[in-house]
Amino acid sequence: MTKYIGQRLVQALLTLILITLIVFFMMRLLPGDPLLIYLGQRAELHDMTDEALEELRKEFGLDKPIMVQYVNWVAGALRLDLGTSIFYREDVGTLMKERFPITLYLGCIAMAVSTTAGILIGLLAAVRRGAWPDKIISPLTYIGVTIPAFWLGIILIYVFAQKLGWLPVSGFTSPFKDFVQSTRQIILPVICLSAFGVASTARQMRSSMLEVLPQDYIRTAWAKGLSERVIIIKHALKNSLIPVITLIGVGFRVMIGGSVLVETVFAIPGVGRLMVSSIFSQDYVVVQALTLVIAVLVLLINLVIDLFYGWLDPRIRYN
Amino acid sequence: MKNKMIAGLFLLLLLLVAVLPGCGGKEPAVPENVNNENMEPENQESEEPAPAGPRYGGVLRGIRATFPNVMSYIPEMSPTDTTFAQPYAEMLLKYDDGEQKIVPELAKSWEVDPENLTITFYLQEGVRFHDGTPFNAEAVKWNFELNLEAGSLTDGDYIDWIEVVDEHTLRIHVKDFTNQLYFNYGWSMMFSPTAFEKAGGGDREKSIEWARRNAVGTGPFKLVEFQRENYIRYERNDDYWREGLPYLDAIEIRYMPDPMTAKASLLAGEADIWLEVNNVEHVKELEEAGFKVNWGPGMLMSLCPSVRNKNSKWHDLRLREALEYAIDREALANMIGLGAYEPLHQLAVSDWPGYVPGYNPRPYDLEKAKALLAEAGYADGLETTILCSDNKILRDTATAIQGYLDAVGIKVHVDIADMGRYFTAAFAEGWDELLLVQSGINPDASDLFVHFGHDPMTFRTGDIYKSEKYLELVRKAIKAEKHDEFIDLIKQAVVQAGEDAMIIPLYRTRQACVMAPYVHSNYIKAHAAIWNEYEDWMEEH
Repeated sequence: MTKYIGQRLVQALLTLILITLIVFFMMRLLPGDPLLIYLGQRAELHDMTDEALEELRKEFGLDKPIMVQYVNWVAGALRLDLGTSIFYREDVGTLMKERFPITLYLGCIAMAVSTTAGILIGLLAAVRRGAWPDKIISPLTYIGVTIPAFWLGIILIYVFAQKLGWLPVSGFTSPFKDFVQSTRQIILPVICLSAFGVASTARQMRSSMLEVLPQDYIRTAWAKGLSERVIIIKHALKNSLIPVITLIGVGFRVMIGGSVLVETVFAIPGVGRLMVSSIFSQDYVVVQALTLVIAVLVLLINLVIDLFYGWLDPRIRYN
Repeated sequence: MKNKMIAGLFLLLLLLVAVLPGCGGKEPAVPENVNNENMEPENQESEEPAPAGPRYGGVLRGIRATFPNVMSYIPEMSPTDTTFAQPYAEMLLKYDDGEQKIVPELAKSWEVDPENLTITFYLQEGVRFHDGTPFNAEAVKWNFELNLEAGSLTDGDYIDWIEVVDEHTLRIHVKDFTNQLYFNYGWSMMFSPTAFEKAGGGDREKSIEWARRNAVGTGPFKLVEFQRENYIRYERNDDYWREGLPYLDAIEIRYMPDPMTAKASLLAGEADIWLEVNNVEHVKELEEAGFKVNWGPGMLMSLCPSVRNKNSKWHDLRLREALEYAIDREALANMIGLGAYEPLHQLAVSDWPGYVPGYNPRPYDLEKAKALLAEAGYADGLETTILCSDNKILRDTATAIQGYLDAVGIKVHVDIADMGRYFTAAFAEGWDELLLVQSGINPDASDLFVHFGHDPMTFRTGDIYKSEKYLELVRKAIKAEKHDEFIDLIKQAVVQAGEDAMIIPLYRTRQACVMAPYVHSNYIKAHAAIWNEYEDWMEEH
């Protein structure tokens, strides 16, 4: 096991190095200069002189050869110094501290909702295969996996906030500041973020359960006269969960991707929106740092999930 | 039977999704008895009797699609930061929000002496920063020096030295005179030097770091909370120097980048005012729903032929003229702006001081355009590229122009660039053929120098064709000592730019400020950067 974890960590490190190289050099291959975007936005107040441009280039270390810039960035990242944003003029670590908790808070709730609801719905559809719950659930899961998050967001705002007035249109309040308002504000974004997850988990859970249910040990359990509840929950569920657990890993990546749109539609100041504005302003420093941190999180989650398989299915060996 | 029932249920669900958006539910947040007939971009008057007068109290809840980054470190502040700083910080001079003139704010008056090369500001007395320290000439000097050290004061190079004449008089000695200097210096926000120094405890970097997130000014409101790209809250300054003002208890502004969400917030009654709306369609929908609208000056949209290459075909006046003749600007403005945009035929909008009434050197005429192309040796047409940024208005405009120019044999490739490539082309490296661009409009005509002057702050000299005659007029205009002379020279420059077909003016966009009927505000009427929030008030609602 320890050897396996060590191997995975080495692989993760190599993947990370590759990611840093790709992100760093691809950002620089983009046409345009982030410093000019920064200066251009202040153009009517400050002169757009070559001197001002050169001074900024020096300040952000962009006057150095590109390999030196890369080494400096990696060295900084190892010291947990991710640099200063060109656009926000703020330490990237500070920006992340402001934004990551919001995205993670929303994301964790969305993942909890999508996993729990997805498993229960999928379970119901599988156990009642061909009956009316399955006939309602199956088409709905098709809609769930194909519906665009931003469209769903707009429709939810229109119906539940603008027309019915049940929930706030947008915004984010910390749950520590005002728990009730915070909860009301996150209901619609969480529905948007978890729609895909609920549908895909339910579909996976249903097909996985349908594979397990006809197996011999389940038939034996029925023959022993065990109750349906015991058979499904104790014997079938655990073995059906392995592919579903894989989906949780995928779900994290989908959540980060979905947060880009959902945070824009619902005006939530999270990492997704930070990523969007940083890409538009070509803020190398922020985009690089966010990609690096997200990559580390994805690699860690994948590792944890791989280890979790062994717990779910003791036949899996890490050698 | 069972299957049919399931299919029926499914269809019903789909139907509900499709029909729900059209259903009525909660009533709109504003009354529906407002006159909707007049769709012109002017304030609509309600038939209800006017309220008695300003009322104290209330929290104005605003929304905005842009948000500030820097609160009070002036060298890094952008125009957006400055706009958001207005409730808590003030300038020496500013634009009036009604008439097109410069009015005093923290300076009660000013004196420009071109002969002795001095600009003197006489400051308001009895003004205090929010930290209780006095606003005086020393504080003004400190603010100027902070900006000068960072090299970010507009026309800072002109300053020779700054003299504190007495507690409330500050004199700036300049090396040379232009009539733009006093306002460029006067348009500087003033912050408490004591608060800045105290925050850093002697460490300048710490002070700067503090000033990026905090502010201590003299304004009618104090900055009490700032959450980046989320929320900003200003609260009433009870010691404000303008007697009896402000009316509001507080102002809250939420960042809302998505216009659909912003519109829904207003309609759901979660916001009282949408401060800067660029989409005319949304403005008109809200106007129809009974919201009040203030229209601002907007931006000047133009097509700029590049002459940075010696061999550029756009050096030929006939080709630039052909472009202008080939575009139906009335139809273009009407189509893009849904009737709210003003078609332009000169480098000036109709309410700008340098506007020349009736001047339209090249009205829409396809035959003339074709004849000029033939005369210039392009009887079989030519190919060109329009560079524009990834913005809906610019994209639609470029596509429409593509159609107009195609009719005279000019094949246009529309090159939609991301912000990085577009800014790099527009402000640094230049563009190869035609650039579609929006430039700001200032009530005092200073934008001519900012964008199209002899030494502009934005486009580099050499990218756009500027004749010697035009440059001479602009140079003279900026040196004019009397206002009438200044305006006359600006008008001559506008005509010369027209004669040279220097750029192809297309139309003036409009920005709007939309508010609930109980809100009273003049915001955006003069400029997006001018907000006299101390005069804003709300009726009981």
